Amino acid sequence: MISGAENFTRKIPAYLDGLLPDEERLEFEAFVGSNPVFAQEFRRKEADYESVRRRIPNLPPEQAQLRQMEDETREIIQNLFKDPEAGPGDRIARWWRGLF
Amino acid sequence: MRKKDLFSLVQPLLPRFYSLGVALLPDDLQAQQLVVDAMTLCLLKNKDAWLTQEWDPEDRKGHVLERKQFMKTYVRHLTDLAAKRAAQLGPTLADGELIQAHPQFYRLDVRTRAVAWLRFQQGWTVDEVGRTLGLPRHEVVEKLHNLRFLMLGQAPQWMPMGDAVKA
Repeated sequence: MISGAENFTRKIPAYLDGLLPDEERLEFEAFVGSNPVFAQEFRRKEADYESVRRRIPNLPPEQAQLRQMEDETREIIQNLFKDPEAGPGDRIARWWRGLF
Repeated sequence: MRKKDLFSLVQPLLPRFYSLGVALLPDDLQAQQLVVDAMTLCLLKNKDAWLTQEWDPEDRKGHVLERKQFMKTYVRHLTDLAAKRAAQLGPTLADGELIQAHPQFYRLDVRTRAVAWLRFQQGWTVDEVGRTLGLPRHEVVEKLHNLRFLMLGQAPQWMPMGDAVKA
């Protein structure tokens, strides 16, 4: 037979991974709120989770890199809209439609 | 959708794509190239869909949803490409500064790194991560479970560590 605290302890990873259905999540949060010993155990696991998050790089690009990626993206989009088979009439028609 | 609309759709996402690129390939130049190559692939493969899609410049809520949708398609291409590149580049990526700064993370294989970054840095749900990367739910849960142990140094002896370049 699994005790209440043991049952909720098993649910900590699922809670932190956002896997508990709403009803169980609320039940879990109520148990954390009403049981200081379990709350301590939960905070420890939560701190572990935060520690994992901090070890995962999340580096923004430098300004120069960002500009370069933007320029290359513009070029990719420019090429995407090019139709090698289109004649000058088609291109003018498309440009005209693009104005509206 | 016009050229400038398509650019407006993807431009705000570029910093995030770069961050994921660096998480998958620990070299800033390789990551930058990866972002651009995945962009080409993503836009070309879904060319007709992007060109025919409606774009209302005033609909800010719609933009958020469309960007999320674009990101999901893009991340799949980025991860597949990164897995191939990591296998090709092999040991040349093994001793960079990033690996020294995040040794536990870069010991994970490329797909597990993608799962970790999406879940922990972007707050995506397990289901969103699974659908995006084409992984069943139980595999995402297993990867999250194992990576927590591996990154906190609590892995039991039998658990495989993987290596920095394993795809």
